[in-house]
Amino acid sequence: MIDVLVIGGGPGGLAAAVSASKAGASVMLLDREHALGGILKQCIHDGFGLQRFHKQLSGPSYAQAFIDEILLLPVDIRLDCFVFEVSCLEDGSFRVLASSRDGIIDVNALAVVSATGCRERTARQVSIHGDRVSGVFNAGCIQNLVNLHGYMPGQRCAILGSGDIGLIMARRLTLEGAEVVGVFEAKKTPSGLERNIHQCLDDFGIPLHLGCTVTRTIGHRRLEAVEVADTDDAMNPILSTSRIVSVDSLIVSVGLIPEVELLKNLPVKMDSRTHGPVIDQKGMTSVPGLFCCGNSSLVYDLVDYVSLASETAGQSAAKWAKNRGLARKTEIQVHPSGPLLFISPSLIDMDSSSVRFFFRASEELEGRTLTLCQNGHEIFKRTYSVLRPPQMETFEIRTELLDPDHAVEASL
Amino acid sequence: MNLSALNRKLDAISPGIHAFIDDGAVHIEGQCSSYDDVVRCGILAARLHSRGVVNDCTCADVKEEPMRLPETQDLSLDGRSFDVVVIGAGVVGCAIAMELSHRNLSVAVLEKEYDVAVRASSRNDGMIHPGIDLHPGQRKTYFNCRGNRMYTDLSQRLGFKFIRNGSYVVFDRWWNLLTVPFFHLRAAMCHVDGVRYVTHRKLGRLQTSVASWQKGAMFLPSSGIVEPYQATVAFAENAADNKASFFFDTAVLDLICTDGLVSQVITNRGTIHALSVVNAAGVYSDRIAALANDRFFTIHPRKGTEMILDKDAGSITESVIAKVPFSDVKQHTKGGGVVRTASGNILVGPDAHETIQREDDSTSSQSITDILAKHKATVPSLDKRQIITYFSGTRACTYEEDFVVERSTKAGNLVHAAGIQSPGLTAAPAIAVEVASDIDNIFSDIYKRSIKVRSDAILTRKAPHVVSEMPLQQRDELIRSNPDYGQIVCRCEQVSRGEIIEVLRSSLPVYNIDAVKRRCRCGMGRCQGSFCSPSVAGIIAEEAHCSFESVCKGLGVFVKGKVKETSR
Amino acid sequence: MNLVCVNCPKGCRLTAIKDENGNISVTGNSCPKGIEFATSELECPMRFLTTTVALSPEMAKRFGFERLPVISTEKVPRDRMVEISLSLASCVVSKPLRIGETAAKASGFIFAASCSF
Repeated sequence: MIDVLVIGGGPGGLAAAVSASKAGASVMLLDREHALGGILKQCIHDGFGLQRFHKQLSGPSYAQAFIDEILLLPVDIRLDCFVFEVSCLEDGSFRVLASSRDGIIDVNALAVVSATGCRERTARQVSIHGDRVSGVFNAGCIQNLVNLHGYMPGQRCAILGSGDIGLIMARRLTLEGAEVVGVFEAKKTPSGLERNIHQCLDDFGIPLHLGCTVTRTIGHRRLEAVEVADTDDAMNPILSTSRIVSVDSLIVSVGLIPEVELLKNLPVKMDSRTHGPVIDQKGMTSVPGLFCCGNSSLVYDLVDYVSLASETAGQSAAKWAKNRGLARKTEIQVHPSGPLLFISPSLIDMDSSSVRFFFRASEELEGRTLTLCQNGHEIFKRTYSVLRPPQMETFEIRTELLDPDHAVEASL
Repeated sequence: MNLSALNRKLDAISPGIHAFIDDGAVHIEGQCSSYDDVVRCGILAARLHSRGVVNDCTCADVKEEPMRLPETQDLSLDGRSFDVVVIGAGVVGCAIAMELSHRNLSVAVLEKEYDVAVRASSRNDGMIHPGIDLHPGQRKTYFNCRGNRMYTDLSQRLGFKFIRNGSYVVFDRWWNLLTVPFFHLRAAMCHVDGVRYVTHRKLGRLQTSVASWQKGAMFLPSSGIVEPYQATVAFAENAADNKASFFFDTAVLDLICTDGLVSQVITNRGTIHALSVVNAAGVYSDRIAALANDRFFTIHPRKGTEMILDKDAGSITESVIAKVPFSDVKQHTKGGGVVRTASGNILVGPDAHETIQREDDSTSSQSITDILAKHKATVPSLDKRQIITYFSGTRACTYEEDFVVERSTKAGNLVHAAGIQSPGLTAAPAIAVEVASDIDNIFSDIYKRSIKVRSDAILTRKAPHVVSEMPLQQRDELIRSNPDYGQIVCRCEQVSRGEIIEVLRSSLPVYNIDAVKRRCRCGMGRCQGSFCSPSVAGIIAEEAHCSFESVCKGLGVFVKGKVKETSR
Repeated sequence: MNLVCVNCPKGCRLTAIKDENGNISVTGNSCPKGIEFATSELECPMRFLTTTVALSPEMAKRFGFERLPVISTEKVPRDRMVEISLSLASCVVSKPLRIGETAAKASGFIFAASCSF
């Protein structure tokens, strides 16, 4: 019986496994790839670690810090190991089944931390039609091909979606010799961090076409051109504005979705705003002993925050394994209102000294105040001069400020 | 209707269009203003119930694109000779090749695409139709009902998944109940087994996702489902196991006939000598017939689009739900349905649109919207956000809307298996039996050779491993015997490296990312290959001993160029 | 020119103006680093260059991938980034490296390994 089993060896899983092990728990970490680091292995650009390490690190370097640390701890690490089932046992512990090159791994654990990351929305999910040609890639896929294997999608690229990955790939492709004809964004405002608009597009003179989307792919065998059109306020293409842009590759970066496949067969309550499971500030889901952290709980933009939240989840999982069977003493719900895309956690466990909140505004706002109230009393207030959906905000409050009998109203 | 009545009606559509009979077939010629009018003329001409319609009308609004030819041009097949050359490796061509390969015949299959089942055979819902919506007198009905029965045995022997789960034809109006006796009558005439009526109350209990206003349904137990490409691959691999040769990227450019027999097949890879030829060329089967001077039918392609929904939408139905076919006026326009595939995804569609482009596989947002709207009425829980992907295909329709399975009257050693549209998948095994019998007769009549099934014919095929469906103990043992089966490459569908290598080492390997996808489901899940394609391309490059850059995904190369190779 | 300072998480919004005499004035900063940053952005923007270099077949097998991520040890002129990145085309790393060790040199700049292998 393992105390804490961590699924995923990316930034979420690494931070959780390190903190659980440091808290004295026996830890096993399973990752489906050949090396630790998760998605960071292919995020070779810098900008990671500004908050946590006060340095501008590349993705692999950020991961290396945790990898160096975990190798010094007694964590049982299994690579090329794919977890395909997690089930709850009668005594409240978990059975985890995984496939590895050594055979089926069948282990029991007192607590499980799911850090399985996220996947990308595909071109078909944003209604790109036209000819079925090769040369259309999701941004994550082409990032892998370019950065880890050294292959290009083509030499004249269009990018759909101004999310961070799309912006980063615009720069990467330019630095590797391609011409990026433009980044197309269906919304009227960009989806990525402002910093990335400057350093990936402005720096290289790559045009950003807001309110414009790709509707069709054109070609005989491989991509030869795309059809683009302006969009209306509902992000639907206005067909009369269609025009053809000649390109040999299309990179699609249209959103990330938490990967929660493993939780499907468990009685896990899902959060319709984050698209991950409902979690409290310790990362515990509605299934006692099952924790979720990193991009599989909600989509972050700074890996530094992933590490922060995942450390908490790891510590909490270790504590859970030690003091088994203790359900949440008191839990308070968090009710969002106003232009909040989401606020996490949506549940607060009073049996903890502090709560760290993460939230995103649903539109660009200026001079707004985030207020936490209980039963009409204001507990927390902060005014933000600028709020943008791509930039997640965070703050922490002490649990002793909270009244255990009333829900928290979070309004913006 | 007679010829002069037809000519009057044709003239009304477009002045100058005229029809005449030649060798039993109706020929129509002239200029129309639109392609839609060309099709209308053809449909009218079919009402003469002649041998076939040869539609030579032209139109001013659209032009047919030339056939997409393979890029290779060499003499690698020049001078080869075979007893039978099968043109087309769709499900019909592969089923025929399989049947013939069991005999004492040398068989070659020529396919212009890079794999079997690239066109219509992989772009359908995989339904093994009961045949209730077919006309008793048609050839397709004959082949459908016989083929339907053959799938149980074939799937077991050849190791592909076939689920005979039955289907519902849902009534949406009370007057539809009056058609129940008609269903039973049709069932009897078409040899459809086990048809029975289900009351609306019982249907509500059996299928919770069907709309509350449903008025009952007919249950057709002989209905089943396969993964169409896997069935085609199974037929093709069995043919290959029995020494049939498959030549991909090989297009037939011409047929040379000598003394009333096809003697040579001209391809982009040289000239092949053939003792007999089978025309299973799908949307181009009328062109092949024309090359043998045996043009008595015309293909008018009809495009259909289908969409695949997330497996989570799979709770929608265990069986097929289709709207009553009789409330659609034209019986050849499929009602389409909501189908749960053999792999658990939900398929919605297809629709039907006439098109002049024979290889048009493009999709449009309008057809997606229309299809969803049409089926939302029967299954209200359908939602656009569940869509994983969509695809289109072109049906090879003759104007008679029936199959052309017969020996040629112009070339004594040519057999047509042409104009196969739905229910082509269901009918394929039965068509193969008939064509093989025609070939037997050709060899005994013309070449005085006795053809029989060989005693050493391989009649079974081992099903490929699917680790995600194996019991734990068995899966563990397999991994210990070969660790590649423990390394998961496609995480959405849980496909292992071992399974990918297995399909690349089959008796008919195709080194293409989409071919691998069709065979072992790698890349068919939610992420549509975003995570696994780089690995799959790498495995293909290793197995095929080729460069990563030459690996193709479907019709074109996967990656293009290396980093730091070019500068703007 | 309006820009966001990237020196620390504060992210001050700076405004830098150059007058006719070539004098630059910066506003919006909370520390001298901001002035330094804004001035250099206006005159000659500098950036760290992250890219990859090729690994020899043996090293690729050891690492698991064909390319090694690297980062320039100092900032390079922004307007020369593409040129410098392309000039690394012929570099090949043929021995194992630890994070921070020199992986390649090109156009007068040193590139360090972003991770250990």
